Amino acid sequence: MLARIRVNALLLLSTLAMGSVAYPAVLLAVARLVPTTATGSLVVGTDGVPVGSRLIAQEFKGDEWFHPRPSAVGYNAGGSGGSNLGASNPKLRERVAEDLKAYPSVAALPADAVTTSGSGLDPHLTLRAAQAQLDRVSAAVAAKSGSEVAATRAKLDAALRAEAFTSMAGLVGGEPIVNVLEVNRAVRALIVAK
Amino acid sequence: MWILPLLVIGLAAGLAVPLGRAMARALDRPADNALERAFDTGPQSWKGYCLALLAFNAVAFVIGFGLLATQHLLPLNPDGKTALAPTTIFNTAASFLTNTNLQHYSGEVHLSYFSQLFFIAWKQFVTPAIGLGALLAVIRGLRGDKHLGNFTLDVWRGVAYVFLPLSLIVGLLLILGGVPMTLEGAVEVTTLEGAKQTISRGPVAAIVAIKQLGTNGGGFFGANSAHPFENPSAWTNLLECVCILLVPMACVVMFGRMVRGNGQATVIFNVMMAFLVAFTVWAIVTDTMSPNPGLSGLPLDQSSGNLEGKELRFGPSAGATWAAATTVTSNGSVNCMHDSLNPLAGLTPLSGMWINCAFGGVGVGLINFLVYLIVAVFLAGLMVGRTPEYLGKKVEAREVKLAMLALLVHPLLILIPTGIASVSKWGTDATNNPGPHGLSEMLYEFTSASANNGSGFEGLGDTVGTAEDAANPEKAESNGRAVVWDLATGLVMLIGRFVPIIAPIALAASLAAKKPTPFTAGTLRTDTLTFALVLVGTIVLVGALLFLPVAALGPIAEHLSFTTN
Repeated sequence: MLARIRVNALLLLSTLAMGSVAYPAVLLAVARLVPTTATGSLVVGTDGVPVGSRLIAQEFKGDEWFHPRPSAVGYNAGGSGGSNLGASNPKLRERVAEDLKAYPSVAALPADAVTTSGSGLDPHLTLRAAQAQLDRVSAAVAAKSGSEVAATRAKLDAALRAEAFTSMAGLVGGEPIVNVLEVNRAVRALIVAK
Repeated sequence: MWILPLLVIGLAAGLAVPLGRAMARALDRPADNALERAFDTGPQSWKGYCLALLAFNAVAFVIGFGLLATQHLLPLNPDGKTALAPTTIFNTAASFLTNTNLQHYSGEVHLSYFSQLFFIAWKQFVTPAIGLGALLAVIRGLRGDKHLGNFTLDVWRGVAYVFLPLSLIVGLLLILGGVPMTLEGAVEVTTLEGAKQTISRGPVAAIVAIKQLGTNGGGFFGANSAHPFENPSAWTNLLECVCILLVPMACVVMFGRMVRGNGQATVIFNVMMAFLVAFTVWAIVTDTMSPNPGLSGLPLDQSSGNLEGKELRFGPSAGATWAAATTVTSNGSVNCMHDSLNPLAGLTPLSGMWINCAFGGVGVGLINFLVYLIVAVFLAGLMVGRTPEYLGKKVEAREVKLAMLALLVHPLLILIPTGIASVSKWGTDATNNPGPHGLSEMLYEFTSASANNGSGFEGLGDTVGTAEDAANPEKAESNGRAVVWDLATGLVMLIGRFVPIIAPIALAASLAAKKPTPFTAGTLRTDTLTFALVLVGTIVLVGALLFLPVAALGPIAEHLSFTTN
């Protein structure tokens, strides 16, 4: 009996030592080689203060910004989650119909622009859904920076295309997507550069 | 679109062959060094093995409960997580003891880093090793060993030789792939628009690696592998999805080696593969290749399929592929929200958990399959008038009784509680969606609990959370419901874990004690295509058909509601 208690205690302590101490310690040491991503891929602004994470969507409401996908958790990066609305739930259709009002002139908007992601923090948007916002964004940016709308639009479109990429170089399918925080940093550069 | 599932399944199967062989070599031999001898308390009978298993689990439950209950007093808590509600602790302790990882809490909201590392990660290493040990015991019985091995030695080897090395490799790759690994607390940033955003982080890579490899599924964050920190890119998504299948597949290869019957293992592997492929194709066709029917008629381009609850960076078929893999194995991690899958696509995760044996959980999945196999041998023997035998041992009344006990406990644990919930206020009021989808949410929850899976139709209101939440009078009503869900699913998980482990070990020991019968022309062959078809038929008829009525009331009724309107 005593031997059995001893071997059970040994198993408990040795598995805790391996799985909860040694294993994370080794990974923490490895993580020091890639300090930026290991601490959350933070993006630092011009003043050296973090403005967000490349991997985490943040809210953009103003007309001069590209808007990310809607978030079921209000872009709460301390409490992720999806809408969990089933297809048959009228709330889903009502929400999407409401969000579609922001795109009055688009005949077939890429659905990612009005569907919530699984995490509520999806940092990406399809290139086409971002381009569908170009009218609004370029008008607002032009007004703020005092430049011509058409020229601003061309610059923003170029910025979007420069940011666009396809997951795994297209191997797994899917269309080009952009990182919304990165394109909005380009927007800010345009506004500041006036 | 089809390249991703091909890559996932192909890579997992290709890596599982050498891994399974290595596992057979490392796990199936006498203790041969001082360290191993320290864990070896000697050969055990089936009763000895089961008692050791239950005793260790009882201790692990108490320790786990204690760790969670005192997290506010323990170190590594930079974000000041507070005490948890009592039923949240019970449910979580039961969930992680049983390799289920059902989460009636949200990692970044409720758990300290200490709880993540010393409770979550520890359980995620130990419980798959316990499942693997149970499988080793069953295989030793089936091949006629006098003893079933030694429990503590098996578990220690599983952690040290299988899960620790694999997790180190995968954890390293995840860190290189952009997954955070830090003990720093949440960071507050000022967004470009000037708002404040608090970004939770932590030792994420360590949890994600073992979560994926040990058919655990309990994520660091509430959104699991849909969260960009758990799964930053299509590359990490491919890696994590391969890890879901890897060890369960390797278990079948290991079985073939251990019983010196690669033909037997090939039949089993291919039948499991047929289910995995069928469920994956079904999900891709009904979810990736079909628009969300709730949004039809709106000015939308749904050419990438149903995107509600999906992330963009993984590619369009990633959610459906993962949903199939995570539920045929009892992993339960998610990279999209299953609650928002198209109605028919929701049948893929449900069916995967109903049969619960196509690769299945580490160790226990193959045990479940072997139980189906014993029943199939018995049925086939009756049909063709031959003595039912498996691996040279006669299958008789005692074995079939034990097999039926192991099999029937699963549908009973799902259908009875779902039935009760669907006529109770604590059940129906907790649902997030009306009509048939609400029934599907309750059905999914008990299915996931009984299959020790852990994924969810997460809209269900089953979380109390912190002790402060529990005492909040404004939440009294929803807490009252969540408490019932905590207790009910907690009990279902415990019964659903231990009965289907112990009955098959007894079954295997019963076969081991029999005289081997010589292989003759009259012996029923169990390594042929015909027998593979019998196996598929048995699993569908015994395992899945019981669930057809409730499937018709839930997902199928929801789907039909669109075609009639």
